[in-house]
Amino acid sequence: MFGIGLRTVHFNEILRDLPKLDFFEAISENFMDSGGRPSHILDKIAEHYPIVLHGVSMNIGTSDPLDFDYLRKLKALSNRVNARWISDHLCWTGVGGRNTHDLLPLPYNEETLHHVANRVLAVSDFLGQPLVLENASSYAEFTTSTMTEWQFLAGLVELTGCKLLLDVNNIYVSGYNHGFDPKTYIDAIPRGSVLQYHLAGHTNYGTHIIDTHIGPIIDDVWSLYAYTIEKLGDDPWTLIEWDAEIPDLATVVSEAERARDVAAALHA
Amino acid sequence: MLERVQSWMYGVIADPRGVSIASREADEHILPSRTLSAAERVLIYNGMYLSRFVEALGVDYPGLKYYLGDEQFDALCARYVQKHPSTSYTLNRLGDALPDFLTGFERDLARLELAMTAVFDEEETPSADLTQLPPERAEMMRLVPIKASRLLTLRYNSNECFTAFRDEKPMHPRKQKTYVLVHRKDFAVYRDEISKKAHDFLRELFAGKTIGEAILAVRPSQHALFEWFRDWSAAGLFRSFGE
Repeated sequence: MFGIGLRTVHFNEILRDLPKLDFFEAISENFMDSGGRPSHILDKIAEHYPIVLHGVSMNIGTSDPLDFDYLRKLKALSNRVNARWISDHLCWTGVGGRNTHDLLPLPYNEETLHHVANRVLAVSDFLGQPLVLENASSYAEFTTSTMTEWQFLAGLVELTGCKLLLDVNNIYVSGYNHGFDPKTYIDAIPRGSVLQYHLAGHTNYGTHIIDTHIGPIIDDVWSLYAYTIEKLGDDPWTLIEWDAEIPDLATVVSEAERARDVAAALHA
Repeated sequence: MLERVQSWMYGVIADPRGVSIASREADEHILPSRTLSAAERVLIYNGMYLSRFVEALGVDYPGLKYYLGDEQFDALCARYVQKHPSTSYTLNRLGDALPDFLTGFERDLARLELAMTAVFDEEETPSADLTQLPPERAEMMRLVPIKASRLLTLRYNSNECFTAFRDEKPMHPRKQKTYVLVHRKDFAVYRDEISKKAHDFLRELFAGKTIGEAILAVRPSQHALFEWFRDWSAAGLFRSFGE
């Protein structure tokens, strides 16, 4: 299954052309509080395509209490559009009741692992389905980390039964920024734990890469995607994200078609 | 330990003194990379913090941004976010306090833009057919407005200035009491400048008064009443009526 992220600039084209895609991913927070046109469009699109919800504000890794007001609205939205699953990021976005609206990295150690695991269990229980967590790109690592991100993710899957949204571009970005081999990361992901892949473009500043979701996906990330589906299978749904200087719908759809071709080549 | 490190990092990212905090303390919390120091790494997040909020506020207040220009708007956002950091899971609420953070024409224009954002996001409610109002009992009826509607009294010609922005023309703010009905139909947001009497009449209805009570309070002409109800019916302004 191959899809793209639902973006406002494509609303009219999508409803007019019904492009050849298998699903759309909607950013949860863009639709949770809006009763206007975006929600109306999402409902229309949900009549034609499966929808998965992808959040940026669950704040699963914060030391603040869980926000059940947020979770209630998220669950209601999921029910409304019959979302196949709900994902968010392995990160924290704020603390002390304040939100940076950024996907901030966590120190990877036993304390954080058990803290996040307890919250993942609580959220999954509340939502009535396993939470799906995505590996976020990161630009900093903590002195208090005692394990790698892939060890942390594998531990989280083992403790909670959560599912993973493996962002192949994010693994590439973090590998560049932190100096690890992305294939080592992918090799450590438990097979069967992944429900979805993400692919996107990024911006390389030489000293570091920022996960900007701009431009087409680079060849190195395509190669890593091929490696990933060879190791972990192509059952997980693959989604293209494009969030800056968003091109016309056909260009984004062509990236999804390329992902479809990469997967097909493995079976050829 | 997690709370401590998160509070520290939040300070580096969101506090105006973040750069100096990072330069003093980053090595305690953050590892350097092959190419960047610990402080440089954590300050990547600091650099993105304000730009995210400036972008979000620019989406909600494009007219204000146009009036102030990028540089002044960015500076305003920095001051505003320092006083009103985001406390919500959604950026849609970030600018709610911006009008009250401003004065004069800027406040007036921001109030109009906030009303437009609110109307855009409001829950869709079906419209009632006002031609079905029973004539013999019309004065006893109370009309319930659709959720996607706001009634504004402005002190400046802010609505005219917003139109100038949309037409990419210069704004010429001047003091002028104006009355604006912001509402939505078929998911499009409209700004209707209305007379004081029409505003006062709607204010009575929005407050839950009957049509008869509103007529008594405002004393409109029959002609005005006819025109108002014709326009508001076409706009789908009311979702229900009843005694």
